[in-house]
Amino acid sequence: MAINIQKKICIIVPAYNEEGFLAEVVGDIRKYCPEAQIVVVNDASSDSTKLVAWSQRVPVLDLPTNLGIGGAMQTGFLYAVRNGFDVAMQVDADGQHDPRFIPVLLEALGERGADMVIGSRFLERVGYRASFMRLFGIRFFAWLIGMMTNRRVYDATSGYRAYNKEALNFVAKYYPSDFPEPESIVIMLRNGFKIKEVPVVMKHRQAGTSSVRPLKGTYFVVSNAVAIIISAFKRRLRSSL
Amino acid sequence: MIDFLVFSGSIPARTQTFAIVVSGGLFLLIVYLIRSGRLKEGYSLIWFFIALATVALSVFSGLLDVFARFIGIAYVPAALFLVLLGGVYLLGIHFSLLLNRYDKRIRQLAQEHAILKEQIAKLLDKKL
Repeated sequence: MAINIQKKICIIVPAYNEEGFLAEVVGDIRKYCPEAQIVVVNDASSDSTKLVAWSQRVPVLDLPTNLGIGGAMQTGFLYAVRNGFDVAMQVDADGQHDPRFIPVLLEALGERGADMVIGSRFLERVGYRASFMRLFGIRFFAWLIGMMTNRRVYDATSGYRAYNKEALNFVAKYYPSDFPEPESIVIMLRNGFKIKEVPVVMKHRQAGTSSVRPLKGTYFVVSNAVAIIISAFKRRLRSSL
Repeated sequence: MIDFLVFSGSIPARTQTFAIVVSGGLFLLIVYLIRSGRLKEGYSLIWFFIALATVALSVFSGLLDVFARFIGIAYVPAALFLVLLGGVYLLGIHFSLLLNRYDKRIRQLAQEHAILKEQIAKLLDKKL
């Protein structure tokens, strides 16, 4: 009998009013990464997201109140830590994160000595076409993170990520709540984690609405920028560096 | 002479009487709220000292003159506004800190709640 030395993988699917594509996303994840355990975090959706998730026979972490993407992801991280998973991934429920790339991210996590791998839209110019403003915002974050940490991260707002066990333990404890993606990069870099990016092709949002609406775009950019700068000056949270 | 200055200062007697009555009333309100247990320990202390300071400033209103002269404010009531604004500012920070703390606690509770619900669902599933 072969001993199973494969790592236990948990794929966290945060969902807020994503009844439209959730079933398809779960199905696609099963197709491209059948060995992974999928867990859906329902962030107090007002539509039938929860029922759709149940119908897919996956564990559902049903939040009683809306915590936002940061709080929802952290719920998934906690679940993964407590259930002894070695690797956790975030795959959004709106269909933007193509599950075809899950093995690519996992492979990069295993081979390249990275603690976190980000699926980046901007390493190769294919697929995803961002609007001018969005592109400007993303470039700006990359520049700001570079200034603060001396590290280059091309797609700081991408939520398509994989974490190894050490990084998972860390984000389960410390994960920003409001606009967590860029801020968490700075926090993790400052705490000595290694971040790698791999090129992925993202689809345009297939369902739901982006948590970044045009009118709120400016607010998004400014508050993220402030969060990036502040987190660069925060005390380190890991002592063993 | 000095005593007289400290007690009345340059504020008219009528204004001072009004200030003493109002601040005394506020002080009694705070004491009542603390005694009846509606103002919890953490906040009661901060409000108690604010009320005490207001009473002290209105009884010894000359203190305000001394303070205004010390920091170079010619118009004494302006010094009062400075003190008040400073107090409100600090209170604002205090409440922001509290909100942050409660926000964190609610988040943790919600997360635990969701994880427990999943565990219950799993257990029930096994039983059936």
